[in-house]
Amino acid sequence: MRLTRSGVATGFIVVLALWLGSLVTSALPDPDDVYDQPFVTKASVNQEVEIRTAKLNVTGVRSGPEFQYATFVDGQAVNGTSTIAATTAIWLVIDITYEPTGQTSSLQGLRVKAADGRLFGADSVTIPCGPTQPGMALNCAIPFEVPKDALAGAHLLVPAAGLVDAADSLADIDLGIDAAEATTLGAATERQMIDPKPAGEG
Amino acid sequence: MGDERPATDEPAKPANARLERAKKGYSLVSDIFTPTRLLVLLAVLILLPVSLWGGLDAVAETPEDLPTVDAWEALETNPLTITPTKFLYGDSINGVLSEQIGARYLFLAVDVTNTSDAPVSSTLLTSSLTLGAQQLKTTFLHSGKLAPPVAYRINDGLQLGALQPDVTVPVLLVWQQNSAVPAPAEVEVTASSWTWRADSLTGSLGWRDQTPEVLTTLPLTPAGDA
Repeated sequence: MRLTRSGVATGFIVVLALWLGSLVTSALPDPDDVYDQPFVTKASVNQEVEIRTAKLNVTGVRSGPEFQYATFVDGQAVNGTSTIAATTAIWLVIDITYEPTGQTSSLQGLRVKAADGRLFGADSVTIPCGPTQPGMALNCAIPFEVPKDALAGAHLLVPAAGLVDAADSLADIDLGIDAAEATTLGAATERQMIDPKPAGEG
Repeated sequence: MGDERPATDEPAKPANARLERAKKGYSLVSDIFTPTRLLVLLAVLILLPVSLWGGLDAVAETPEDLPTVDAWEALETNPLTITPTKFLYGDSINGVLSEQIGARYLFLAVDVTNTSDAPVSSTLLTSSLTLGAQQLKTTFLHSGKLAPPVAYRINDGLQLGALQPDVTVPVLLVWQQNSAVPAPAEVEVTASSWTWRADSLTGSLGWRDQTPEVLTTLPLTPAGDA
């Protein structure tokens, strides 16, 4: 058989197409890899994000060695409503606006994910956010007990229905904590106040 | 075909003869060794050596070959590191636990660190520690040696919630003991490990398969002496 220039070119193009096809196939997610994975929507601080059950907006982060959860009037905790929690690590308090979209519900199952993959829950001392009605936003502050080395690069995960590993809608919010901010947050000494209020109130 | 019949009948004769001899021999003792008595004898012959080698003993709650550590040293388990710091008994804690007739409190203070990479429930800690003391119960009046204690965060007095990765939490574990039983001078404490795996029926992940991991003996002192 005699080789021609067009034959060699055709062969080369066929091999190249097969190679490119294999590259594309290997880069695409395998159905088994994504079957049970959540549907992630990424956001950052002060950016509203919508998941299946709610609209969310992280408005800030703060920290302290203690937090006080209470109903405050004129800066003073109302008698009988106060819980003070302390830690050997640091309380990372995340201010978040929560507005259910479908039905009355509460904000549940949140996790802070450290840059190295460790997960921290909001249930060292459980502080409620809600229940509230669809369309009625609530300003909440959620405390997470974390070691100081987990602050830099941390993200907040908010699941639609309470489980961050469920195959459901999930908000992944970059808290914008760089190394310098982590040092500042880790050195905080003031007690943080937590008092859920409807959005628009103090 | 006709040649094959004598060949198959020949070996049957000795077997039938042996069977007849066995029947004859059994007929001599059949009034003593009835089938029922033979079954009882067989059961005795099986159970006797099994029981002699301890096969019928109650399963030990604490394996005798557990590694032991000195008092107040860290108990390394999976996924918790538990370091006892104080072990006291008393009648009450002001504002938290009131005095109860017929019972004393045992207070075990520990520093707990979750060494996994996700939050761990407080019940994993309270289920992990077992005291070798008599007539224990929890403050919720469940009786039994394995009664889990109630757990409080020492730094703020709140009931213990989840334990976060790499955060050491001072915790007070509280049992109750019948005060009619003298307070022991020392108590054996067993700490268990757990395995993170999926449930075979539901597929849900969790800490399962509690296994005693390490043993220590702690002196118990009156709270007034602390």
